[in-house]
Formats: sequence, C-alpha cells, structure tokens
Amino acid sequence: MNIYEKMGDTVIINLPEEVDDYRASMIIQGTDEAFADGRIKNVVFDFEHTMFMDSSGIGLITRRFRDVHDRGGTVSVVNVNQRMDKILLMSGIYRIATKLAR
Amino acid sequence: MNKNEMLIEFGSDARNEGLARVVVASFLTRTNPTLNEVEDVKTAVSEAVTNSIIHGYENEDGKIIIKAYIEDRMLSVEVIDYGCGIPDVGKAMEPMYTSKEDKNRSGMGFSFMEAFMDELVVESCVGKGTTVKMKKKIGTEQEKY
Repeated sequence: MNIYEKMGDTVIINLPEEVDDYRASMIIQGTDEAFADGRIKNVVFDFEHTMFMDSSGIGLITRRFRDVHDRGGTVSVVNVNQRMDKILLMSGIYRIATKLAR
Repeated sequence: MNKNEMLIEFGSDARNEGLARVVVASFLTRTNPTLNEVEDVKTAVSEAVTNSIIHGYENEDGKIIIKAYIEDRMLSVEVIDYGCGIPDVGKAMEPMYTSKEDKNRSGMGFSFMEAFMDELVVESCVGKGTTVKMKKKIGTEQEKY
C-alpha cells in the first residue's frame, strides 16, 4: 500500500495501523514530496487500517493543515473508528478537519 | 495474587515506543480491563515514552525505565528518564504548549496522559531527568468527555 495517493489537487494519506511519533515522522518525510510542488490543496487522512494513535498523529494532521491552509485548502479524515474518533474529538482537531462519511 | 510488579529498561529509540505500549498493555491483562482501558493506558504510556525520547534525550542515546505495579485493580506506571529534565513543569503541562513547534509536536502529550489516566504526577530536575507517575483504576470505565 502506498503511503499516499495523489488525485489532482488532493492527497490521500493512508495511515498505518499505529500512528505514534516514530510512524508520524516517517509519514511526514514520506509525504513531503507530494506537498513540494505547492499545488496540493486538499488532504484526506484515511484511518481505515488505524487502530492506535497518540498525540503525534495530531501533530501530523496539524502540520499538513498548515501546509494547505494558506492556499485555501482543506483537511479531512475518513474511516475513523470509535477509538480514533475519541482521540480526534479530544484533541479538538475537528475544528480544522472535517470527518467524511465512511 | 492481587499484587504484581514489573520493570523494563530500554534504549531511547523511537521504535521502542511500540514495545513499551505492548509490554504495559500485556502486564495489565490480568486485571481484566476493557478494550478502552487498555487503549487508554497504551496511549498514556506512548505519550510519556515519546516525551522522554524527544525532549528528555533530544533523540540522543539514553535509557528509559518503566516500572509498573498492580494492586487489586489499580495500575501504577512510572516512566523514568535521565535526560535533560523540564525547567518549568507547569508550563510544559499547559495544553497546546510545545517547546518543539518546528518538530510537528502537537503539545498535547500531557493533556492526553491526564485525560486517559486517573492520576498524573510529573517530577523533573534539570540536568537529571524526569519521572512521570500515572495511575488508573481499572473497572470504573468512566467517560471523561
């Protein structure tokens, strides 16, 4: 599975099973090239395979939000299970990210 | 029977964040926790260990020790490092505060530990290290938000 998929001005980031500091750093590095050309406006984080996330994941989402916000872009999350929803809700990230229906 | 304890020591390598979570979660099993309680503890341990690696040792080599203790259904966990210490613990614990904005840190580590555990005490000494002490009563399953 690719770390990300690019479709026009949208990047879909496929999150791994566990998003901790170690994996979040890898995802940032692994998706830098997708954001390098400055055309990307929208970011979708796909949680389909994700069972664990700590605050490092919030740092990751916030980072990519900053990358696209000035260009009028958006950040969304999709396939969020109950646990991930709890983490996302607690962090207040829904103020900047939209939850898409499964 | 109703008491148990464990101690592990490992290097301050980010790949050990997963190890630390799994060991403590496994230790917790005999208290018959709910899945939610296990996940709460895993998240809190992950936050504390990440802090030790990134802030305590600033990604340099060092040792992290986890002591855990169970009495009846009360879990106590201590995450100990001998890193640089925290100059102002109160400030470090403020929600959204981070000393490493450029490193993509959310500043929510301590908030997560507080939210997922019942007790959190942080003892730190500059130049000597930090100990994070957390407790959680298993079997109460109280939703905090």
